Order: sequence, then structure tokens, then C-alpha cells
Amino acid sequence: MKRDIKIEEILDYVAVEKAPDYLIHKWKAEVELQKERKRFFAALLRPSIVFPLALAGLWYYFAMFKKELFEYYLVDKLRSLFQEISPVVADSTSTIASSNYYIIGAGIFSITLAAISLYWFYQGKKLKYARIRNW
Amino acid sequence: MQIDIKKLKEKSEHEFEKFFKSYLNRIYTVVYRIVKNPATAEDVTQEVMMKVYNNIHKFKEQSQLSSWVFRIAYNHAVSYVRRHKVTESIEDYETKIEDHSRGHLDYLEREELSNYIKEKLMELPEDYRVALTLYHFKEMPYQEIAYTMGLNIGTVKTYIHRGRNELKVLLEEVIREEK
Repeated sequence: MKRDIKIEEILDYVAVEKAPDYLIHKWKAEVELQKERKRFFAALLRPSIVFPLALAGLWYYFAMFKKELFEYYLVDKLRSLFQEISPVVADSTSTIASSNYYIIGAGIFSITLAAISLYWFYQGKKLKYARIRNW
Repeated sequence: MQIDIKKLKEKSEHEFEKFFKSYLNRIYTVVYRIVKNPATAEDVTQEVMMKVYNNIHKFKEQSQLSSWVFRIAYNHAVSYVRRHKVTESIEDYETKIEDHSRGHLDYLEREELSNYIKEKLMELPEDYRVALTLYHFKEMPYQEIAYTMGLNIGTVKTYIHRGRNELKVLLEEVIREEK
């Protein structure tokens, strides 16, 4: 026997499916987990900016103002260190360090480190780790 | 239920909970009509909820909040299906239909009838069944459905009309339309 039903009524009746209520609780748990992840990466973000910048600054300081110390470590110490492993590397390191272009090289190195730290920062921002309040 | 969009944009979890409690069934329905599998629909709905929560700042208030959310649900479910090639096995489906055909349709209770109709609804092409579903969410005008599905109003009207006609044909075994 066929039923007398309007198609509109049928569609109204079956229009909405019942979703499981626990989806709300799962969502809340996921939000909490996301907040924890953000807190963790936010804590990593500051050292990841400061450390390369500090390293670049130190490098530049020694290259510019402590030339003798810089040369001593870069030419002599590195040479003796690499001599055992690879004389070619040792020779090229000391050649570069003792050349007149090492300040330019040191500058480039500092800028590269600074650029990497900025890249980290913007990546962190892009990934919303920097959006934590009170950070 | 009145939802404060400003509070949503401030990431008030209480406001989001209120919003999701009143829209969860409809979000889930949009997703389910596309992925056609309850377990997958749950996972995709969960992802949609996180997407809404994380991207609420992008809501420009040029449309209804509900339409914006349904649009996210629709797009996410469609791309999920494309990514995972979710398709119901034809054999499984034929078995289900056969079971119903063999049964005593005359004695189908309300719940069984409802399940049978839902199965038939799932037989319609994806766009038809989504358009029909959204249309029967009561408050959804054609314009909002068009926005949700990324179509123009004329196409939406055509899909709804065709979907309704195809469903009538599929259901002619169990229903007789009242004049």
C-alpha cells in the first residue's frame, strides 16, 4: 500500500541528520590540545630568534673588533683541527680567514644568520605561534 | 538562538559551543550528504569545526554566518571526497536496496520509511542532494544555497527541481503524492 505523503514533507522530515553529541566534546578537547601546541611553539619562538641573532652579533664583533683573536681561532686553531681530517679544508679555511675579504665574509655570514632568524620568526607568525596572548 | 559574532571573533569558547550546539546537526548533515559514510562524516565534521574556529577572523559578515559555515563544510567535504576517492561500493548499495525491496514496504514504520527515503536521497547526484538538503534547512534562501555551493541562483533552482523530480521517481514504490 502506498502512503499519501507530499515530497516536501518527506524532505523536511529527513532534511537534518542527528550528529553525535560527543563531537562538541571532541572539539573542545582539540581546542585545548591546539592551545598547548601553540604554548609549546611560542616558548621555542623567542630563543629561535634570539640565538641566531646573538650568534651573528658575536661573530661580527670578533671579526670587526677582535681581529687577532678571530684570526687565531679561525686560522690557527681551525687549521690544526682540520689538518688531521682534511688538509684541503684546513688550507681553504685559513686562506679565507687570512685574506682581506674575511670581514666581508663575516658580514655575509652575520646577515645570513639574521635572515634565518627572521625567517623563523615569520614562519612562527604564519603558523600562528606568535598569536598567544601575553607572549 | 542569538550568536554574538564579535565574541566568536574573540574566540570565546562559550559562544562557539553555543553556536556548534545549534548548528552541529546541520553541519554534519551537509558533510554526510557528500561523504555518505557516518564515521567519515564525523571526522570531517570535526575538521570543519576546527576550521571554523581557526578562521572565524576571515568571516566578512557579507553573508549569514550559517551560510559561511555551510560553505566551509561543503568545500571541505567535497575536497575530502576528491582526496580520498570516497565511494560507496556499488555491491553494498545494491544489497541495501534489495533488502528494502524484499521487505514489506506496506508495513514500514516511520523510522524505516525515513531510512529508506534517506537511502534514496543518497542515490541522487551529489549536487542535487546537497541543494535539496540545504533548501530544506528551512531558513536557507536560494541566494544562501548558491553562496554555499559556489553556484548561481538559476543553477541551484534547477538542481532542486531536478532533484525533487528524480526523488519522486525513486520513491514511487512507497509514496503517492497528495493532490
